[in-house]
Amino acid sequence: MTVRDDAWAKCCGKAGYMDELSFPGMLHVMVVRSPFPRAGIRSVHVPAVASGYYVIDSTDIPGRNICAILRQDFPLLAEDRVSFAGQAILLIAGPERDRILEIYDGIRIDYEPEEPVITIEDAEEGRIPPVFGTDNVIASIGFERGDVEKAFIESARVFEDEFRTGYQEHLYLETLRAIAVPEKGRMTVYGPFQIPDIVPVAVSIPLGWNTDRIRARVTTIGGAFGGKMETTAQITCLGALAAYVTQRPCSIVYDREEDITTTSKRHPSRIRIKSGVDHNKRIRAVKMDIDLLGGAYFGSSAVVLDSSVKMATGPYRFENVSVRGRALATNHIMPGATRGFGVVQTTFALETHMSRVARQLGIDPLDFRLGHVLKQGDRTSTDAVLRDQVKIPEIVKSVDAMSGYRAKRGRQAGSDATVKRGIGIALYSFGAPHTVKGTLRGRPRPLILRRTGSGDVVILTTITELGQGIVTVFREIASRILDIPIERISMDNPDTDRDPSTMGTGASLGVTLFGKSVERAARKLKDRWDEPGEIEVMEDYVEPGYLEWDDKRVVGDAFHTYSWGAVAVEVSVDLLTCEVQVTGVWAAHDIGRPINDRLAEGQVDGALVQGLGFGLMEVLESAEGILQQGRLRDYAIPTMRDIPAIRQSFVINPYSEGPFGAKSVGEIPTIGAAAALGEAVADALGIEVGRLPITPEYLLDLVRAKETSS
Amino acid sequence: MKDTALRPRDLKEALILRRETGGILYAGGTDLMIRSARWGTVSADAGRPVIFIGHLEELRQVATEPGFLVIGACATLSSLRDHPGVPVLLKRIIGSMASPAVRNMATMGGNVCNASPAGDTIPYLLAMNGTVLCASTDGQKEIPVNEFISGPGMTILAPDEVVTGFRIPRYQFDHEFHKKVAARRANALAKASIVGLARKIDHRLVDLRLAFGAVGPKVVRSPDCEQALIDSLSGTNGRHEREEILAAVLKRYARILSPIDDQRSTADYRGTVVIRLARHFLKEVLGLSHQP
Amino acid sequence: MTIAFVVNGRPVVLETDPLRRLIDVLREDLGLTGVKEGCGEGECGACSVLIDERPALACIVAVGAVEGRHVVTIEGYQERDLFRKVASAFSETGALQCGFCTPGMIIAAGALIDACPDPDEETIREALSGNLCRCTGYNRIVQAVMRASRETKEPSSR
Repeated sequence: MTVRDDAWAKCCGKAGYMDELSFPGMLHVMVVRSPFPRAGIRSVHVPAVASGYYVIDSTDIPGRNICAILRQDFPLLAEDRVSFAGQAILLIAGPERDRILEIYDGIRIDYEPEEPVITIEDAEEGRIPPVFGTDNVIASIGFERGDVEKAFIESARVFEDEFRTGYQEHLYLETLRAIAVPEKGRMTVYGPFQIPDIVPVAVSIPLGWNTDRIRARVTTIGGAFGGKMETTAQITCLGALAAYVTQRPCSIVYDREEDITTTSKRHPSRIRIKSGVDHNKRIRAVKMDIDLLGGAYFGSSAVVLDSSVKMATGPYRFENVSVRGRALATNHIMPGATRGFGVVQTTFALETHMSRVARQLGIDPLDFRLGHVLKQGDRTSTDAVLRDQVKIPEIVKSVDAMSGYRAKRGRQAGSDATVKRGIGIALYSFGAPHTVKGTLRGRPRPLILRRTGSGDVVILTTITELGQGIVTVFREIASRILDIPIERISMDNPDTDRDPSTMGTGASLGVTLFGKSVERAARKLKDRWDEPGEIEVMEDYVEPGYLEWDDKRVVGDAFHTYSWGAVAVEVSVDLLTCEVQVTGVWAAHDIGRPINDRLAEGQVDGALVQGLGFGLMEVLESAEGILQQGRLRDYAIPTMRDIPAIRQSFVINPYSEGPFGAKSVGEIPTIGAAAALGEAVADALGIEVGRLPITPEYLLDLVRAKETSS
Repeated sequence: MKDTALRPRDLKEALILRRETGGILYAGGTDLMIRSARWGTVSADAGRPVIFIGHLEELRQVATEPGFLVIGACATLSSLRDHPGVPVLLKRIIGSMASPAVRNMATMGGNVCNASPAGDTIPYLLAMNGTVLCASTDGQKEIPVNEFISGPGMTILAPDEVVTGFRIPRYQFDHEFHKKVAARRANALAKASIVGLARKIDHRLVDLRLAFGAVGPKVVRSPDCEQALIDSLSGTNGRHEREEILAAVLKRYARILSPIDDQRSTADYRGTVVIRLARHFLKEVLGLSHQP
Repeated sequence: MTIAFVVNGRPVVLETDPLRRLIDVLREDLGLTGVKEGCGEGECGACSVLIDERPALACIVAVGAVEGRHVVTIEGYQERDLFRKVASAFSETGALQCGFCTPGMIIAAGALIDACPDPDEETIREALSGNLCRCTGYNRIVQAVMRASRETKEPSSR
């Protein structure tokens, strides 16, 4: 199997990361941020600064004071008020970090604190003046199929649950950063940008320049997970502003605490589910109310919510369905794109709810869920015909064979009286690519294959390598079609001056959609191979012709296709401390036919552990608008000792529209791990879990309640 | 450039520099560097220089004296873990601290002088009746660990003194119990911790010690409670009486503890969990683990 | 203060603030950018170097504390035969993705293999527990370290 071409350089730490770059005369930039979640700014006092040092405020912005994400409502630098703790107010630029700190210590900002909107309840109640619009509703979307109210009336039993999930920080090992270099009337911005294409657009607004004067050059990305998409708009604008004012190269590198407390993360959620069950113990109707806790500005919450709602019913078919979602504004940073994109939360809620219902009905929770799984030819919750074969039964069979789930479930003795063991399983699906037909998002996203005069092939695109291995996969696809050695095919980090705008990496599109573009381009290139000299083939993505989508009514093929999966998680729980240890993880996925098994398995391993961290230990809480676990010693992600060896398999189910039958893999394995973990804890202790993360503090409450009642 | 740090050649010179400057002592640096760092820069506190002492051989030794183990303040945690003379329980506690690379730098001197209520080695030292050895140009002092630590982050170390090591009685116990409760299984600060030690002669409890970490401003130990438990196993107390005494003592412990809510855990969880752990340990010691 | 120490086998004498972090001296003064900063507080292991042949974290060491000592960064480590074995195992096993943790991970893995030539899974997970990786879920890192340790033993067992 092909070894990724960046492996050796990465082992040596010399793979072209931004931290290997330096420019003559480069200045460091520090951001002065609000300590208050909501306050008016009465006055700002800046001390006299030495020559060569700069303090920059919103009046130094030559263009408009806007950091454009999806809407233009977020000021790049706060003017007379701040709406979240950590909001940027000033920049300090200069050559020496300790002198910058001295300036920082001399700055006095007089605030007038106001009562912040903190919780989902605060946002919907309206007692505190709204943060966003008149009602704090950043976005709402919903749909209904069938007649839900009637079905509830006709149901034999109705079950209702409420679930909560917390923030999750992406925790890429390389924090957000950018270097802006002004030269000859242009601005070049270097850094780890998941979607380099947004940089020229974002930077053009505060500079008041045309986008063609701005160039983004991507440096090797030290992890992203969705956290280096919309968030790069702000850091690149701040860097470019500093470079514009100082006319020097400016480097802005967030330290870890700054990165955790002031950049996007997974949306916290409150999800209410009501289901009606008929006399045959089948679900007749489901109503889901999904509320995502958003930030003080529009951010990208609407897009995440869209995915939550469209994927809310997971891999199941319900005749009568109502899904309503809202993203509500609070005085916090804007959560945003995060691996699993709004579906981790809904999957935890739905899986846990269905298992609870099964337990109350006296049915095996896995059998109950399997009985509701979609089949080929069924209609999805958005009323589209499901064209693909659904191999969830094969997937579950594979997980059961690896894990012994059915043999272990409900009958595991602990090692002694103070330890209980349990096992749980979750089923899930993830739609990708998003169908864009009929929406404004359907802009061209081309890429180019160029054969040089010497017969080598270069792939030109702004699709970014985040570590997932997309460069290797694209090279493999091209190599298979062109029938030339993979070593003769190359793909560099993007440069917006050089590359066509493919709109970067995100939404699990890379392999399925753009890998297919590579395949088509390679076929055309092969047809022209005998032409002399340099040849270029440009290909845009193509949506399958059969898709139908009505964005207004939320009806039709919400996605081109779906990946499917199941994961079993085994735990032991210390009854004295309520600490949970993960002792086994087994997963199987249908991602079509993988291009490169090793890379695909790597995606699954990492995503599972990210999902387990979310479910188990990653606590990030707001106390009155201030995030409490901003330092890495307090925000705990899994170490090697917290996770056992992972076993996994792929159930092959080639996708006719994907390159060599491949579907997406990047996000789906994140989705079910926390749900399976919750089920495992429920199995071990005979309790019902309603919240993530399942901290020992939370579990102790549940265990004490059970001890008291028994 | 004014020197912000001093590097003595030996302990004698270190003591003179400490007397002259009152400088901040740098042993392994793993706490000091984090505490002093801001935005990638590290600066000394209020004009006081830093005195590097981690390299001083006199402070890096592990020695046995009759009845005692003496651990140098600047012996790294890794070196203690590898040392044949260090008791197994202390090695286990060290193994629960930070990560291997940090343990290669960090010292027991730093852990104790940092005086965090969550400091991992402090409950052990307290339970073992360990003492802190302090030196100055005037001579040596030996201070019980819970007198040495005067509050969270505070010690009574005088500005001219240096901690040179710890003196720990070599004493065998039949029951040794340690549990650190933390957010994850490695590389984590304690939410709470407990060390329990007990010694029996002919089923008679002759010694019992319990120390609790991170449930108060200082590590907690109660001689009164310990004595009550020792007494419960003497005389003619039956199982029922012993259970009643245990319940009463655990209530007393719960009153002594004063845990707090912070970014790592809650007061409720900390207080509840250490009592659950103490009950588990004491039931075993008092022969109450199994139903009759 | 004048500080003399050895970096990657070469003597270095610097006139600098002894409280500067070792990571900054290595990266900024000596250009050794393979030392990565992930957290700045000794929690992630990305800045792992060897000090006197033992793994240490360059972000929480003051340069004044390494006077007279031997520091090895990934740039020096890659001259070693063991690096080649570990790096090959990482590459071929798929034990790296974004790569930002990889130099530190390799230094920690190499130090383990030096100290314990035949580590079992638990030993590996313990020895590398201070090196965070968000991409791989650690699965293939453990496999790579096992593979590297096997390959390290082979010449002597033949």
